[in-house]
Amino acid sequence: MKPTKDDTHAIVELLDVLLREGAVIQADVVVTVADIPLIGISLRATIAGMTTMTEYGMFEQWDTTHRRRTSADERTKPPSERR
Amino acid sequence: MSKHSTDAAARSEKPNDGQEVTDGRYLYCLVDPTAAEGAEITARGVEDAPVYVVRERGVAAIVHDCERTYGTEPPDTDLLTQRVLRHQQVVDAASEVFGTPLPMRFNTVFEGGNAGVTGWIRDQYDRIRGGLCSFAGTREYRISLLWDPTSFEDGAEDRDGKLRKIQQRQRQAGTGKAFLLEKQYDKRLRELKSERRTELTAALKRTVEPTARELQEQESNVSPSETPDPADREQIARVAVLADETDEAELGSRLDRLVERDGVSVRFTGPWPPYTFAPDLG
Repeated sequence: MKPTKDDTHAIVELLDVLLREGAVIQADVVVTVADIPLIGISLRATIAGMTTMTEYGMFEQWDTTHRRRTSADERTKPPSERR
Repeated sequence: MSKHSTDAAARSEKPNDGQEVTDGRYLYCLVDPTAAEGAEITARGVEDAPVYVVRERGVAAIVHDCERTYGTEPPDTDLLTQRVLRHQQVVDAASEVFGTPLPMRFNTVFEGGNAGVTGWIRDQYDRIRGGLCSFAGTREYRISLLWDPTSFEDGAEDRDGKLRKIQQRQRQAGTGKAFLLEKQYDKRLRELKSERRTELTAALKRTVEPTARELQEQESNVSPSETPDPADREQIARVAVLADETDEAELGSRLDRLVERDGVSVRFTGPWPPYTFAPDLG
């Protein structure tokens, strides 16, 4: 199987990850970092109602590029290795 | 809270729309620019802000200029979702050009212009370079393990002698005793399901470990009501895996074999930058 980035579950996970994780910087010149876990929860509920991540139009380009690359990879494999 | 953040909070006129900042730089991620000298990012940033690269020796920061931080209570979640997705799009674009980034948490904002960013990079240079080198060529993948407890329950009596014995005694017992035996049956079934969940979680870890540089078990905290599952499957474990990007296909094949062998389902997302494994930076 291949990992996905463009389904509803992936976007729910991404929001969860981005609002809670990633490097946190402790420095005087840093004004803020995300501190919004409660919003993360309501976002998950909102996004769960969406059909796909691409409703936001944010990952269509990524998806197109990814699929193009994947099919190019498939074409370069010998027939015995193709799925 | 630093002096700067206290001052910024005091200056803010619209607390729900973030804090005002002086010569702010919104930081998406840090990257290693040495493999792509002079390269720029063409993606647009959060709210269409122009994104550019600030370099300091062997570290580059992907930033946009800003006058405010983003509010932690935006007027609608749709807006925050758009912002978060655009943040991710920029990080993805940076990954394409420069390789694995050190991703920042959403809404990380520096004051003091580019000099504020480069001054901080100089202070933390060795730690940042060390992080970039150690994550080079890796990606984070997220795997959720799901199962259908109903089909496990359906076959439980065939597999467990204790359950069969309780069931037989129930058939012969009077009403009062049958009620108590039903409780015993439910308790035994709960034990068996709990054991099976533990076995399956261990099987998932064994499956991914050979391709994982690092593995971190996550809280299995997304309730079914938040992410309705059409097949009524129950999520029993979530793991984040840091793997070489060249091992992505192998990881996928190993998960295929787990699904086939143990009758579970998995959700496999990625590739992400190493959000879970990124170090906190001073």
